[in-house]
Amino acid sequence: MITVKLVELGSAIQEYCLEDSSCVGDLLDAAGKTFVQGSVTRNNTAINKGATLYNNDRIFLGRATKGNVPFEVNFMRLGSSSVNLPAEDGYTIKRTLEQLGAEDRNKFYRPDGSVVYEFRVSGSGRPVDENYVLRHPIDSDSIRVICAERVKGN
Amino acid sequence: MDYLRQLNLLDPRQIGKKSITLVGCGATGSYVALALAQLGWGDLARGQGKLIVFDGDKVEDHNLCNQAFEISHVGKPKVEALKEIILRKCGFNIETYNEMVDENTDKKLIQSNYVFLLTDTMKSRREIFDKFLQYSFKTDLVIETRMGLRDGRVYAFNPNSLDQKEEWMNTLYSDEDAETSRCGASASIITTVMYLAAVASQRVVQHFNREYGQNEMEEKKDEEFPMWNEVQFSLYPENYYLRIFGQEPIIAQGMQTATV
Repeated sequence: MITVKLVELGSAIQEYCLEDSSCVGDLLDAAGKTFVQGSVTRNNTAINKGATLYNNDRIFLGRATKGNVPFEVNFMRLGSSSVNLPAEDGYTIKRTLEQLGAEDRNKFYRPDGSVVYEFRVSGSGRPVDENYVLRHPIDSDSIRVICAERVKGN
Repeated sequence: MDYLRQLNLLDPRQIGKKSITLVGCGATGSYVALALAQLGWGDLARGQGKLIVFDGDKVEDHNLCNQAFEISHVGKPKVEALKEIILRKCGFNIETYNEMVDENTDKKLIQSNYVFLLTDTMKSRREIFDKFLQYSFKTDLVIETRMGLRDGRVYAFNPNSLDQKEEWMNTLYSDEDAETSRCGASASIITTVMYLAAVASQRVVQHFNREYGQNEMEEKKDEEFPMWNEVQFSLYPENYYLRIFGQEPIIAQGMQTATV
């Protein structure tokens, strides 16, 4: 058996257990999705319906008409669990977080709608806010965003 | 005090005239002051550098569970209580001022070699930095700390480096944006306090050994023991976010590390 993640914009990232030597078509069948040429990528490269899947693969399902390849955003909260969400080049942090379910939203937003964390995007130590625009990484299909509470006590 | 057991890491006889000022001696500040005194700062009879502490608050009941003060100190100015604790424990008097730092404060008292910004508000840290520290050529290192219930941050930077100053300023946020407890005060628990105080005090030990220490210290090796400008930690579970300003940060979860 192999384990494969399906990363699709607007949906929670799903993990599937498939038979060895399964192909993209098998994954899409398991997910109830239809194959559209150019919409499925792995490691930033478009793959076809018959491409063989390997253990721990991350398969990205994007919108072929727009031509953007989705990527994965790992929101790592210091002192808490991580949350992975799909994004597309040009998504803001806020738009990416909007894909969270109601329960997970409470981890990032206060009841008044304000954001709990400040964010630091992979490769830069500078704090940014939720309006920061995420860019597709050049040589990877995922980025990490560190989320830290703004504390001030002494 | 006999400093024999710490000589391999910090020899107080080398402290000389290197002074330290603490602005604020609440939770973090009271333990930082105690640690620095135990390291040897303030022992003027031995020719060691001054330890100067400012705070205008009094000890209250609710301070006892997360600050160095004792039940007999309730109602007393914090600086007096701290002075008493250090005299009793270390045998010497430190220099204290029972007042908040403001525009009337003597600059020379703030502009020490090492300055700890340990006040309650983000606004006051910025104001004290702007007023006293951004052109303080004497100051080698400003150490600023921020604490939540189980999270802490320690910033340590050279105020005379434009790049480091700018990087630190980029980390500042408003008091309104900062996390507070339901009662509006900053949440605090002794375990986080002591951890934060230890990390903050260690910045001085590390910097001192690099710049002024005369012994063969392992800590002089930058590549093995970097001088982090920013340390963020969470104690439950344990995560660390470490950064040298201008470089890519490092995160550490337990024993695993990865570049981010």
